[in-house]
Amino acid sequence: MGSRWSPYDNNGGTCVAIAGANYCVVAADTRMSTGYSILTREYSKTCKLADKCVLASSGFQADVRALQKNLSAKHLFYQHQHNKQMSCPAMGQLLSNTLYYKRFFPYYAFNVLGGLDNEGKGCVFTYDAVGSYERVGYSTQGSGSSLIMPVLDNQLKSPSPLLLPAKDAITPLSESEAVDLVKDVFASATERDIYTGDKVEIVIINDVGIRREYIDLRKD
Amino acid sequence: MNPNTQLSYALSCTRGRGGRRNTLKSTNNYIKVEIFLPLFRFFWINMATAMDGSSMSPSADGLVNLEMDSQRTLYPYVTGSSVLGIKYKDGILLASDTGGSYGSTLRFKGVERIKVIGKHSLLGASGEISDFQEILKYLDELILYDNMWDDGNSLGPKEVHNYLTRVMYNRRNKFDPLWNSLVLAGVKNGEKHLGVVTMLGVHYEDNHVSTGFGNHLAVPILRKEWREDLTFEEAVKILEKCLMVLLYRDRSSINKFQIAKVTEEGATIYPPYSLKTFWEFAAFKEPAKNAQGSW
Repeated sequence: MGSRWSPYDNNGGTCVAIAGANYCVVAADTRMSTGYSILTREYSKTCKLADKCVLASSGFQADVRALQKNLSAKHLFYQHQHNKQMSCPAMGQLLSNTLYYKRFFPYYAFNVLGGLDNEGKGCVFTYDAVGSYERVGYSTQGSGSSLIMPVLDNQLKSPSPLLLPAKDAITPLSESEAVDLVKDVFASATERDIYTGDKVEIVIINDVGIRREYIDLRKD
Repeated sequence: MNPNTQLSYALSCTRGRGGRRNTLKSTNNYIKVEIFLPLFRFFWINMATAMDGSSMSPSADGLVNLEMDSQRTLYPYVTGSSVLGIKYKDGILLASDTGGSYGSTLRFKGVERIKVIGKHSLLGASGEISDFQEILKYLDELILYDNMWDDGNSLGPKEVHNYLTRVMYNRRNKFDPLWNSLVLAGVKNGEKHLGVVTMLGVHYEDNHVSTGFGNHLAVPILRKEWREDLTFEEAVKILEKCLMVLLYRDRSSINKFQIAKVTEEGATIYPPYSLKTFWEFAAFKEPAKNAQGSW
């Protein structure tokens, strides 16, 4: 009977997020693939969950969409009950719980959540498929993550989380420098990762609001 | 079982794969952990006396196959090949052949794989034909209820696409997929919508789409030749070029096609027709000439 039917597929893609002193940059490429074919070149992997909170997810697209719908619905409930938007750390916990809820049939989604916390400082949360998460200064997930993470480690020089007193992981770079860094890492990942390319959608969250930029990448 | 082996067993059971291959044998011989495919349920079963008498031998990939789950679709029987879709100036065109294959036999030659849905949409399907017919039944009911509201509103292609995505995803969650790749096209209030939903619930929209073999053979042609504001004739020509390549190179396609059009005015499915093919290559005329055989 050959290979058994699998409920999962990997639609590829890479996500990156960088936290700054008063901004947060969340970016993901727009390519959706299956096997060795490209299904579409213009597919957004980011989702605005709350006013100051954006989720970028790569992996199995049907699960990613279901997860985004799930979180948006839960956020709506929260708004009705508490008469305010969810903060980014609260959304971070909600996402972790939602992922763990499906611990024995996981959402095949690799997530990076970025936004501003209650003090207006940038915050980034990084997840695995079943909900274990951590607040960090920057992170990347997806097919190109192993190519991008070392570059971010080198450029953003995050202090060790073992230090006492605890040092902030937030980068001292300015917003435009961080956006340039994101463009550079995506261009590099596109060179070697076949699932990354076409365009990168960069979402920048700061105290003024949310804005988007699209940069073309190699289409091969 | 001590907690450590429990955890390693549970970890190895995620994603439904490799559940039994690497587990440590329990020292407690009368309890074995089973993971049932229905979600979130963790059963402890006594191996010595199976409760309903069904046999529970582990299958090759490590998951237990109970007689109860024989309702699931394991593989498709009668299948349709690719469906192509392309946006043009006034609307959208869909094209497919009219073949239904039974494995490698060409069983049915007059299968309409593109249907009109409601007032604004067309649905084309590749994959298992019986599952397509079931989807049409679901959509019939959906459109019926929509009409019964009698409020002047009608379901547009975006809504139908979303509905189909949810249906396909939920069936996939129950490990009983509808074995189809669907192409949904429609125009409502001037907005054109062309999208695909696969059997896993993966869905996307684009200016030109294709399912199955079309992804490999037709999409490169569509990507090269598609432009905004194609006329109807130009769009048909591009589709015919793709259909030709599929006819020559996809063994499950046949030389009988249907093209369907949807515009703001409504949806039409044209009668089937064939394309002119060329088989007069010298090598085909005397096939034995260069292949005498070596024994």
